[in-house]
Amino acid sequence: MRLIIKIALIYALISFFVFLIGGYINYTAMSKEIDKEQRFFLNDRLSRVIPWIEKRAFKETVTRNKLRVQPLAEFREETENIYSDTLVMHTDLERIEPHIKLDVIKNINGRSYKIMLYDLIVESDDIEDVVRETMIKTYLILLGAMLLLSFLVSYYLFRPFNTTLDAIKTFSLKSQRGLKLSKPTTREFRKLNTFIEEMTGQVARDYKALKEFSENASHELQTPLSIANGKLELLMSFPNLEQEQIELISAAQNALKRLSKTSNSLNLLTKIENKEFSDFEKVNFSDLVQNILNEFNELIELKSIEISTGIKSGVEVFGNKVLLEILVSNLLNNAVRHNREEGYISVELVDDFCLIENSGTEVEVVPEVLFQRFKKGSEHPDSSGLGLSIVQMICDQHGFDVEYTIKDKHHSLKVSFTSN
Amino acid sequence: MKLLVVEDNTQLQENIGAFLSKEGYICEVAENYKKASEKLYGYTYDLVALDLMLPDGNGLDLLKVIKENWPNIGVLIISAKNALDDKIAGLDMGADDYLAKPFHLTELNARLRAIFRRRNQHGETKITFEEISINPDTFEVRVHEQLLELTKKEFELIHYFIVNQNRVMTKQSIAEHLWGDYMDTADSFDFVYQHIKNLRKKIMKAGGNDYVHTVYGVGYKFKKEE
Repeated sequence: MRLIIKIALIYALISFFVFLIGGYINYTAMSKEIDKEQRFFLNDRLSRVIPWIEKRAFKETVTRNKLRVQPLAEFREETENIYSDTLVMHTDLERIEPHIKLDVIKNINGRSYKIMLYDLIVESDDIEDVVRETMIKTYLILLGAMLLLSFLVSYYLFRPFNTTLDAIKTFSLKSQRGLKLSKPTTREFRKLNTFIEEMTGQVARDYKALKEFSENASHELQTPLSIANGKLELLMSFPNLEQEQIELISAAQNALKRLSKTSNSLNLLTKIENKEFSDFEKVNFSDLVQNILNEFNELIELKSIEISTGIKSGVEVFGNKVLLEILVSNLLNNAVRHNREEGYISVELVDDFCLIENSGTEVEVVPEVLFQRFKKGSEHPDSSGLGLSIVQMICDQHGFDVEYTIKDKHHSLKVSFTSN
Repeated sequence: MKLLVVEDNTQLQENIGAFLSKEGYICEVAENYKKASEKLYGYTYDLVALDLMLPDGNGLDLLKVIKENWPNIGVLIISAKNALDDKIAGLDMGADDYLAKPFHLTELNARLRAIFRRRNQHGETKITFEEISINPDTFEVRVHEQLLELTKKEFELIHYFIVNQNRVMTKQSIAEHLWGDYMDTADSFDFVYQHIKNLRKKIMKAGGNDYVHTVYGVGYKFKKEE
């Protein structure tokens, strides 16, 4: 729900109660005022009734329109005007209505009279009607005004906020620059924009520095490795080298190669972590798996591994093509590398998942541990221990679930695309 | 074959120079952008091995200059960045090939020769070694003029051997040449052995000599028996 609508609703609810209480106050104040007026009116009538009684000197009780004069047998003290409410049948409306009543004892010409006057100027339900009507109408006008105001506010006042939101949506680390935003006149939004500009600027700078660092680190590492490797190759081409010397050189070269590979894998992990592969598109995963399988065919054949595939054609996955290729070739590489002579590999691909099963060796550690960096299931000299970390990282980036189970010598690795 | 090596690291320059000089290249080196463009304007080269990270400029800019002024020069990018963007950018801008550091000098040699050959189609493209002659354009290998039936890998293998004849070739470098970087399993050495066994068989069946010598525990050497 939009903020402005929420505010309007809360405001409407609060004002509803305010109007309820206000209506009550209005009603009581009005009835009090009317009450007062009625007393004045009755008093006024009383002062006109007294000369009339003087003139007529009643012996019997007289009941007239809204008046009752009762001569008393004995002399009594005069009383104050006593006002009270009473219910009387209204002649015109033909229903019982609350009236105001005045009782008083007056001594006129040496005789005591009990005088009772009652009247009605405004009926109480009339007051109620009026209050209700005015309150409801004002409330409706207020609601209308509020609605109009919220539209104006959201259109005009919130415009800079919405512009900022749109700008944030388009922000990409790849642009390597912070956002440039307008300077709205509203102080809060201006503060927000300044903050976002600073923050995105900082993020972009950090990202650039990190990217440069990983590239430079790679360069600084690969160049000396290149030199060392070249020197060894030159050494190798000397004539009359002893067999032992050649073996030493070769061993050194292998170690250098491993170092270079480890550095490349770490570099790749950093790059994936930095989201440098963010161009996502629809990738035909079936073709991709099939192509990589073809590349591995030779190795599989040479190792006499039996391969069975069940690849559904046209399976599409939303992701980065380069990363998906790395993912599949890492998995297949593992399936081949940790396999045995005349073992088996089965690759199954359906809409929801890709399952690779292969024969291998028994592994003592829990499979989950193998996803950690530099954790190996076997002391394979050529294994960097980073392959599955890369797999995990790629799956995380794509929102895939990856599940690795080992049962005796049967390994199965399942990548589920469900959350993709 | 005249080669300009544009590389700021002197050690690496020396390696490349020393190795390729023995292979019959005329090697010159330039350690930065400025020196490289001076040399390019002053002399003629067949090939340029270009590092992308130069102290005074970007190798990609130099590549652009080369392609605009001397389109006949073959360019091989050698870079430590191993960044996909650079590789794609370089190849898009007309570089002939891309080699990531660290590389085997034998691999560098093979790549440079391939570029040179592709760019000089007018001349004789056949490479011969004693009774073996190979034609890289048609992927044909003949022994005593008899055509051999070779797989693609076997062809690449013999080509790699002949280009780097008389050198010790490690199993590692052969495996990388044949399968690229992703093939890093120890098994690959067995596969190298398998391919070499088949290649030897085919050459000898056609009446050729066995020039592949095993260097125990390390690799192979392709040479004529003394």
